[in-house]
Amino acid sequence: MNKEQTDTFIQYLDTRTSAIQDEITRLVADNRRDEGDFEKIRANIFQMAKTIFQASQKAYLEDSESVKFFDSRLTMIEHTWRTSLDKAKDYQDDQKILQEQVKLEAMDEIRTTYKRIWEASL
Amino acid sequence: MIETDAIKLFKCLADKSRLQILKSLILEDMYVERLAERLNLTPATISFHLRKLSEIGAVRSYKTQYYTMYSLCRDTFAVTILDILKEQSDEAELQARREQAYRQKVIDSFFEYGKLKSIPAQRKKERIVLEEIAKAFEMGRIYSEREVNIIIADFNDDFCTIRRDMISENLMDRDERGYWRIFAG
Repeated sequence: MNKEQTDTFIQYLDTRTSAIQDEITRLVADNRRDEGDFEKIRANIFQMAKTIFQASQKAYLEDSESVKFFDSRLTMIEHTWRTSLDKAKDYQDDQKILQEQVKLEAMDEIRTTYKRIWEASL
Repeated sequence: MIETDAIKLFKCLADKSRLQILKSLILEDMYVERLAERLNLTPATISFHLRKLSEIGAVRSYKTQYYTMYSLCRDTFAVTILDILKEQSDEAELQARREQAYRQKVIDSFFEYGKLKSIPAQRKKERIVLEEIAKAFEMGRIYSEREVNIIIADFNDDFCTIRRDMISENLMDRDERGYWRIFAG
């Protein structure tokens, strides 16, 4: 796998995780613990993406195969969250709605960055 | 307001965003998007907070032609913290029983066959012992110093110390006419 692209993406995930953790600290200090908890969910998504990405690197030597594996996994996960969001909306479960929205926002951001880096491979 | 509701209320209010929502709603009724704009939060975050506030009875919603509006439940906030503290606690009976058990333990330790063995060094324990002795005095009756000394001497020979301590602990009072019990317990 192209080392430069890989490093850029990993660095992006780490930087975002760190920035979100700073935001969590700020929110808690600002007496907004519940919103901090939602940001914890966001940070988890970046960490999860890193784990899947590293697994895809180990599983495939070919760049294009690895990229496709990662993309397919994210698509699958995103589909599950969308279903969960729709269900939460049906039941007017505001907490679940917000949780799923945060997860999908994070996923969208990760995929946009990922696609920008590996545009040619997708 | 019962204790569990009060705890829920305090927990819910211990959040800056929720307080800001309430501060907005005290001005006028608002819908989610307007609150989101005012507080620079997403509509989903506002909805989440409004749900929490609604669960504790802090806000209520009603539908208009275009929006679901939210308003402050002023009744909930009309209750003062003093009212909440005065409310009979679920724990109150248990606390009273614990207190009574402690009191009895002190009495059993310091009294033997109705006599005070020694004056407790700890103020809290001495107070319990003095309250027990104060019960030997009738409410509303004025006693001479001699009468007071005789009654206390039935409990312990050091009637001077006990008499003085009963005054300083506000269990009895005195003037030129004599002494009288003020402790009603």
